[in-house]
Amino acid sequence: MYVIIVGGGTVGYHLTKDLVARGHEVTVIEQDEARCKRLTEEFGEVVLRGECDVALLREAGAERADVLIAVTDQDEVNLVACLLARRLLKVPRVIAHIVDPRNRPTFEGLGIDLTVSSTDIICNLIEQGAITTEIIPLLALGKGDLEIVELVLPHDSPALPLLLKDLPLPGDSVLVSIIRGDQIVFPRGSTTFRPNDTILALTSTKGVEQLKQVFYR
Amino acid sequence: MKVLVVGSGRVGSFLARHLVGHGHQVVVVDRDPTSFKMLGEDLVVERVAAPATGEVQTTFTAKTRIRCVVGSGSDAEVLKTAGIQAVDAFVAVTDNDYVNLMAALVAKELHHTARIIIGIINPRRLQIARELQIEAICPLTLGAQSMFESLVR
Repeated sequence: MYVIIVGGGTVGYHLTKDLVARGHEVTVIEQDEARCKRLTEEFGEVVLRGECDVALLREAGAERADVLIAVTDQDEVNLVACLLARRLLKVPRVIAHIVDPRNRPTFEGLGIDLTVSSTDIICNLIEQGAITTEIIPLLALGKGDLEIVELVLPHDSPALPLLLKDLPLPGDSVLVSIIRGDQIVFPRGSTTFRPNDTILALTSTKGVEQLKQVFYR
Repeated sequence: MKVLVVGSGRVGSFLARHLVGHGHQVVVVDRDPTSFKMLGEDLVVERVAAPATGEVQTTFTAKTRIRCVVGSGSDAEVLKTAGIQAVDAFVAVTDNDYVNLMAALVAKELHHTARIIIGIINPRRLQIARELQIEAICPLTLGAQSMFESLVR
């Protein structure tokens, strides 16, 4: 893939490092001389120095780029870079890093659908950790409203005497598998539970709290 | 007409006062509340609004009757508090060209404001504004142009 990165700060640097290591072609657009120097010394000729406008994007070969990622520390700059790339140079995929999560609806409204906000990610992690002390989120799916979670059954779990089919599971949750020691048990209606079973469940984010009540006292 | 001015610096406050002097209704947005002093000496904090968005507050200059909203001009919520839905014209003249561009995009594409104009400090960015179909003026270029004309006339 050919990737154009706008902004060679900390995020841009590590993105470049990662993408280059995976064998992708990368060009970084960066204004600051010291940052450009550091990137060139480490990754070779990957830098175009200057401000991200259409002329520089053309010089970077944006017409053949597969994706542009804007990761400067200014949301406004990232927005403009993405819009120029998308609208004028028809880059098929643009991704914007946003500092202030309140700007997300604006980006979406202007057609930049893929935004990444570290503030949002950290807040979600904290929130999930806070509401589910024993249920560990493993993977967020969709737009984050569906997730795969892991939970370990305690000795006093109210689920222990019951068959799976008798569990009051929330309607939008499915048990995916049960890990018992080094065995994997595929859950059926007749499955029973044992203490220390590790359960993987697919659930809506709303269902997490209810799942907790099914398996924990 | 109703005009929303983003940026209460020299250009913004001059423009706001001028518009009010000509009988127009003006709201000014700036993230620095001290900048509203340039609108008039009689500045009073009228109410603190929109607690959900935190930084948004509204002040008022009594004599000049300019409503002032504290917040970033590129923040869509702040612009809503300032009443962007109902304005006839939108001006963005902060000292950050990209804030002006983003604010104008919000006005143009999300609120379909009839008349939009922004100030651009770095003349090279006039091209960016043109490409995003935002009308822009660079005071520096205009100033230099008129100096040139006086010199060679």
